[in-house]
Parts: sequence; structure tokens; C-alpha cells
Amino acid sequence: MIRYEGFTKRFGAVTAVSELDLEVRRGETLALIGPNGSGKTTTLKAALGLVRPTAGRVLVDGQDVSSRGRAVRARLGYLPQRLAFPEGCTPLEVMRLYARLRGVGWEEAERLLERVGLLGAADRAIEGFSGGMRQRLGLAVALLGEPAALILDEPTAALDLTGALMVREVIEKIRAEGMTVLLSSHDLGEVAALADRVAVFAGGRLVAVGRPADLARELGLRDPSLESIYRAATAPHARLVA
Amino acid sequence: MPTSAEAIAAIARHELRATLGGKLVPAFGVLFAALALGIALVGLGASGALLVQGFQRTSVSLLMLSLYLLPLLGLVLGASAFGAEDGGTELLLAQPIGRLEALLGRTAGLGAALACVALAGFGVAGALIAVTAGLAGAGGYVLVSLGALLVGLVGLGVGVLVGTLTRRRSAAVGWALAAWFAASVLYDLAAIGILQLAGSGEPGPWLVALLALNPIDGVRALGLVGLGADVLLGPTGASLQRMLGPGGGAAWVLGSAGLWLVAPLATAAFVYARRDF
Repeated sequence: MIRYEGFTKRFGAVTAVSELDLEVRRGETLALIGPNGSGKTTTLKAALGLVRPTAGRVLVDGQDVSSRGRAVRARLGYLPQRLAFPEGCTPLEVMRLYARLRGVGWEEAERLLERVGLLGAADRAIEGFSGGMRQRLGLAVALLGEPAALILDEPTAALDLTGALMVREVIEKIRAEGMTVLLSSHDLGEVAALADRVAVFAGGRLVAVGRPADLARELGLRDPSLESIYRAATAPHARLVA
Repeated sequence: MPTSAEAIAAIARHELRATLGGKLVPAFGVLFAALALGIALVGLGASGALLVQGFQRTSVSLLMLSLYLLPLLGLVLGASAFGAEDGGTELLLAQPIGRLEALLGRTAGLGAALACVALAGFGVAGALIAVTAGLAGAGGYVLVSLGALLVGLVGLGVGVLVGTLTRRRSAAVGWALAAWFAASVLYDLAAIGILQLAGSGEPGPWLVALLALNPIDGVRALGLVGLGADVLLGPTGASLQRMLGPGGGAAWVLGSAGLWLVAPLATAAFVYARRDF
């Protein structure tokens, strides 16, 4: 569904992502994990054309993001890491804008607000919303137009436990419906609960990718936890990806 | 999917609503309206009577005030909107639209908000004058309002460019304020110095060049000549009258202001289309 072919991104002298070959399969949830600055966000943004490749390419359903950006973005929903809405705006106004840009009717926008539990607060100013409510509104925006895949950049970062659980619950439902999800997270518990496969990044390189149980076996770990996999995969000289 | 025009219109409407729902623009609107009313009303005289100036004198005073305030607001609005990395821009650009549509839509919305502020100031004062002192000179007042709005929109275009070139909102607003100070204050000082160096002869060519390089000065000079207030400026005013009077360099000044509106926006669109977010 989403395929990175030799994707490299440099910002000046800094290489954010180096020669990435990775495929996100239809219907799966793939989680990117790794330390800050390891290239996770750049990788996610490249699928939407927000970041342009220095080398290589990114394909979504066979379409190159660089040349077919609009068509690709119509198939993807996105929740950014730091989401801010203009002060004074209401969810109603936000959904109205994005529904228009996606060419969908108000009924769908209303249904999505209900799905994320914000229909009752649709005409309240977002200024007074908690972090969890803002993220759920972001999820409703991301789901507009029934995208084929959802890209979520640290969807529960900086949320309190209640907010994180509510957002996770929505993602779990989306995942159960068979939607393709590509997400990044620092919360290994969340990754364990949501992801079918994990991709471990370190220093701008993909160092391991696969199902947690398979990765544990390949790394020779007796403890198959994500924490052990993460430690082993990001250790110096560890690399499971050719 | 919406057409480009529909996408631009939807983004512009949302930007206008969001900007008017914020704090900066309504505060500026109230400030400008209050100052415009203050200019329209002559302060309490010794007799205790509150006098109202006509359109002619109010136009000159409001021209001076608006040429400080509207470009400042335009610069700050543009820089603040496009210099922010808060996820909102990413969310917008992750939609099935082009970056040019996003830039034009947001700029159009901000421009409409700026027009609302201009309308608040010129409208409130104009309505008061029309009711109390009649409509004489109203045509010039309307032209002054449009000239001031044009300079405000030029400021917005430059602000948008500053925002697209700067990654952080605070830095973008800082550069916008510096640009405003340079255009509103430093430029005048430099212009005086250049005219001094040009000697005591006819400053025509120098003056025309200086007016074209800074639309704030250009529109101010054009407004003063149009309102007949150039006599206050002595020999320079006489020179302005010769250059900007009927058949003079008015088209040159307006044309350069138009170029100042288009060129920064075109450059911003070029930068925006190639930027990583």
C-alpha cells in the first residue's frame, strides 16, 4: 500500500533518513519506533508529500507521491504530532473546512464527530479543549473521506492517561475495521497493543522490521518484549535489515 | 473533490473566520476605529462643544495614521500565519489540494480580515462625518481608504513571504516588525538624506524613484497631492504636485505598489511550493 524505495532525506548536512526500503501492507498496522531524531516523522511526512525525497521515491498504491501528490493525499488521512487549531474556532468549523476540501458531505463529518465523542461539543470553542479532545478532533479530520490508510505521528504523546486511552480506543476500532495504519510512537505499550509489525529506526536508518515475535527470534532474545527488541536493535552494530 | 477555486474559497472563508475569532485582528480593529473616531472628532474645546471635522481634513490625518497601522497589521498577520509550525499547516497541506491553493486561500482570508479592520476605522469615522458634516470630500476619503488598504495588503504580501522564509513564528514576527520599522521610519530618514545629497536642484527623478521603492511613501504622497495637502510640504510638495498631479506619475506610484503586492506573493508561492514541512 505504501512503499518506500531507497528513500533518502537530507536537511542541509544532516541526513534525516538514509536509503529506506520499507513497505506498509494493506490492512496492517505498522509502528515506527526509535529515538528522537531517528527519522520517524520525516518518513511519515514523506508519504504525504510534506517532505520531498532527496533521493529515492515513495509510492502509495503504485502512485509516486512526488508527481501524484493530490491523488495520493486523497487516499491518506493524517494526524500530525503537534496539532493546533486557530483560537476561537469550533470543531464544526474545522470539520466544515476539511469536509469541503475532501469533497464529503456534512453527514459524514457529523458521523465522525460522533464517532470520536465530540458531537456534543461541536459548537464549543476548541480553545477550551483538553489535549485528548484536540487529538480526537484531529482523528475525525483524518478519517474524513474514508481514506485507505491513516498516518498517525505520535497520536498520544503529551496526553494524560485518560486522553491517551480514549484516543487509543478510537485507533483500535479503526484498526479492527481493517484500515491500514502507519504510526510512530514512543509508547511501547501502545505499540504492543496496536501494531502488527514494528520498524525500528536509529540514526536515520531502518535497523529492524517485522513482527515482534519474529524479531525477538532473529535477535536471539529469550524475552520477546518490545523493550528488549528495541534495546537489541538499536545497540551499536545491530542491523537486521539488509 | 473541489475545484481549485472552491478550495481557495473554502480556505479563505475559514481563515477569515479564524482570524476574526482570534484576539489580534479584533483588537486592532477596535484600536483603529477608536483612533479614527478621535481624529474625526476635534477634542473638547474651550467652549465645551465637540466639533466634527469634515472629510477633507480627516482624510489627511487618517491617511497618516492608516499608513502606519495597516501595513504593520498586514506584516504581522502574514508572518504569524505562515511562520508557524504548529501542525495546523501540516494538516492543511496533507489534504488533496495544491500548495498554491493553500497559500492563496489563506492569504485571501487574511486580506479580507485586513479589509474588515480598514472598514472598521474608515467606516466608523466616515459614517460619523457623513451624518454630522455632510458628504463634501467623501470621494477623496474613499480613495484614501482604498490606498491605505492597498498598502496594508502590500504589507500582508511581504509578511507572507517573511513567514514562508522563516520556520518559527516568533522569528517571523520579529522580521516583520523590523521590515515595518525600516519601511515606516528608517526609509524616510534615508530618503531625506538622499534628497539632501542630490543637491538643491529639482529632486524630481530621485523623488519618483524613492516613492516607487516604498509604497507607504508613494501612497502617502499620492494621497496628499490628491487631497490638496501638498502645499503643507513646501518645495517638495510643489515637486510632488508636478510629478503626481493630473497626468503625472500617479500611475507609476500605483503600478509600483501593485508590483510590491504581486512580487512578494509570487516569491512566497515559489518558496512555499518547494519547502519541507
